Amino acid sequence: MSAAAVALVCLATALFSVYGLRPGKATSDFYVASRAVSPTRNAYAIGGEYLSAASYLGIAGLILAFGADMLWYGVGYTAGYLVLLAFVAAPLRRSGAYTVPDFAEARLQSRKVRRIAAVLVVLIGWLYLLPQLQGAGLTLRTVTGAPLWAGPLVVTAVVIITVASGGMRSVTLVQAFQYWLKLTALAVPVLFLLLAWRADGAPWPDAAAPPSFRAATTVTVHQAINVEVRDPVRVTIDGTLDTARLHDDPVLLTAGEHRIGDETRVRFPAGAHVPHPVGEPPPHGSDWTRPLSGTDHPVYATYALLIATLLGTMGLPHVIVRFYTNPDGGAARRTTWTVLWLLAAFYLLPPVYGALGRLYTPELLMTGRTDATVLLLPDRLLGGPGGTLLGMLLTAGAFAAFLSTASGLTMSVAGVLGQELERYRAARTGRRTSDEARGEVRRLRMAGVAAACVPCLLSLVVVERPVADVVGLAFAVAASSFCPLLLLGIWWRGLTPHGAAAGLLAGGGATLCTVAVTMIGPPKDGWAQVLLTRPAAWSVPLAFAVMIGVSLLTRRHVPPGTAQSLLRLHTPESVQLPRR
Amino acid sequence: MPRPVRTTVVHPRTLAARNAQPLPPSAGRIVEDLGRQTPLGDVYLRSLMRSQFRLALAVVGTLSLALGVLPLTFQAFPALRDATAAGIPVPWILTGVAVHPVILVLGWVYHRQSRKNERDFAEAVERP
Repeated sequence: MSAAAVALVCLATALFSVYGLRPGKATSDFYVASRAVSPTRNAYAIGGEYLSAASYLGIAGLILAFGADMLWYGVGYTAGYLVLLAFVAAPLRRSGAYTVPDFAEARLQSRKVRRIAAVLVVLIGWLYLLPQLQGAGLTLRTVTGAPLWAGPLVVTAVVIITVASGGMRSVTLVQAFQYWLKLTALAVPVLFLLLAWRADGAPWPDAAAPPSFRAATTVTVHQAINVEVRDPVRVTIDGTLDTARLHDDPVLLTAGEHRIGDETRVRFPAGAHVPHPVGEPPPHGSDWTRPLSGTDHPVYATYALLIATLLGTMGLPHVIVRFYTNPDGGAARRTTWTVLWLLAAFYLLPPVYGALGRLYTPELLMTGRTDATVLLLPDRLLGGPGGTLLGMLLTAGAFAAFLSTASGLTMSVAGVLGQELERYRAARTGRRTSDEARGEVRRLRMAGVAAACVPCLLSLVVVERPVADVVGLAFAVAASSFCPLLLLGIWWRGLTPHGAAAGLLAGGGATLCTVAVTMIGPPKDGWAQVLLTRPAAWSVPLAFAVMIGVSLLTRRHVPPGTAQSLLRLHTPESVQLPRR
Repeated sequence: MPRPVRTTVVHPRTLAARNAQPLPPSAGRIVEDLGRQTPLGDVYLRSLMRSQFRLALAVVGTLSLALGVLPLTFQAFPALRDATAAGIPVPWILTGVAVHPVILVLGWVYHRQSRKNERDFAEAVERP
């Protein structure tokens, strides 16, 4: 049944993009819908594109696991748009460039900075795509039992069709539709879930105890895990426990460590404490409910998260490219203002799922797949055909989230890749003809395929981490590289190409290193872990300091066109500047 | 040694600036100066950038204060961490719901005020 919902969303998305509107013919159609999208519809599209798997599944999952501190994700994702509105929206639109590398080159007249920015766009885009695809894998397995690699392949295939068929214009329509699908899919079930919760006596997690099963629950473990059991409990196991093969046999699960094998089903009685992965005890109810008490160094972590989300939003490749689809700077601001409303409405919902998930799907703490809580709740709490239907709606919304964010990101990565390839080719063969312009669209589509395939391969080999965590890292990279470039580029006359390049390399490089260490290296504790997984609080100041410092040292290299660029960025369109 | 050129620096919105007939090199509208990037045009551009930047800074500053003060308050007053209202913990209401209206109000203030800044600028530079 849920497979049908997934198929429907994928099919609708693909059909919309192939037949919905005439396919993009010119290069500008491919990039930015020829800048002919109304502010309101553009805002829906931005909402659709921005609300990714991290927002739809990830926040609820993190709240389930860590509690109140994770509420800041939703706040940061919304507030980032206010910062973007205030400092960047209108000037960025007026810059007239298509992508951040375009902006960098136009503002600083430097090919070098352009290339560094292009590399960063591609890396941030792929880092952001990775959890979307893995989230799709988890969703498809949760609802249909398909293998983990199926989800990424399905999403990548649909994204390639979407992107290759029409570029930004068709993507705009599809994404506007997907915003409303996501909001509806999360908002309608919430009403029923809350009613069921009230009917259950409106419980709240037990303050003094670890999470426990409210009803007898069968947990399916797909990948072998080592768990720690606090109190001995009688369970029924079908599969492997430690070294024994069991076939629906009752066993006493003694206190201490156990290994539960692949594809094992464990049935827990009501009231049993949830075993947890070794070394990762979930916080007790009171620590979970309270802010600043579930994790290591929570005050630093909270501020670092806020900095990353507030400043990172403006640097996300798929967010920036959307601003060029507005007809002018004023429209860019109106769009952003509407987006704030759309996001504020949406982010009220995930915490409800997170809190209910803590009560009704605590087994996810044992399997570590907390991102699945949104999908499981209707069936767990309501059951029956109603629960199944709402579950289908939620699954459809989840796929809308994967598809819209993934196609937006793929578009922007493809745009930048295509531009760089184009320049490389143009530099070798000289002038271009109209015939070659047609070839350019074809090359852009090829770049789209490449941009979609690399993260798909990565998603199959990289170890899975909570969706919102990885997305948080992508925000941190963007905040430490593009945020200083955009802010200083728009508001400071003293920025030099050398300063910009040094700042991008220092901030972007440092955060990308922490990403590599956290994703590949062994887990760490204490400060090392917090500084690596939440780098923004030190990397953003570092990037700003390097960018400003080097610019001041190379003051003689301030580009001669700086005043002209700033004039263009800040003059409202209503003022007709005479030609020089 | 060449004599330093005398430049008159005036606030762009004052009457003195608008009426200053002999200001070289353009005797026409400020837009001409802006487009040709004369020192006078630059003064106008700087003034627009300054007003917009101050506005943005005020809005984002208020936002940072409103959000940034919350974790510190929770840290300073542990009793607040455990407080509940209507069965829901107060920190959840504050961070999950109450901050959103603040963000929306700030967005509205910015949107309105930035348009006003730009209108003022356009009026000033297009005055014949």
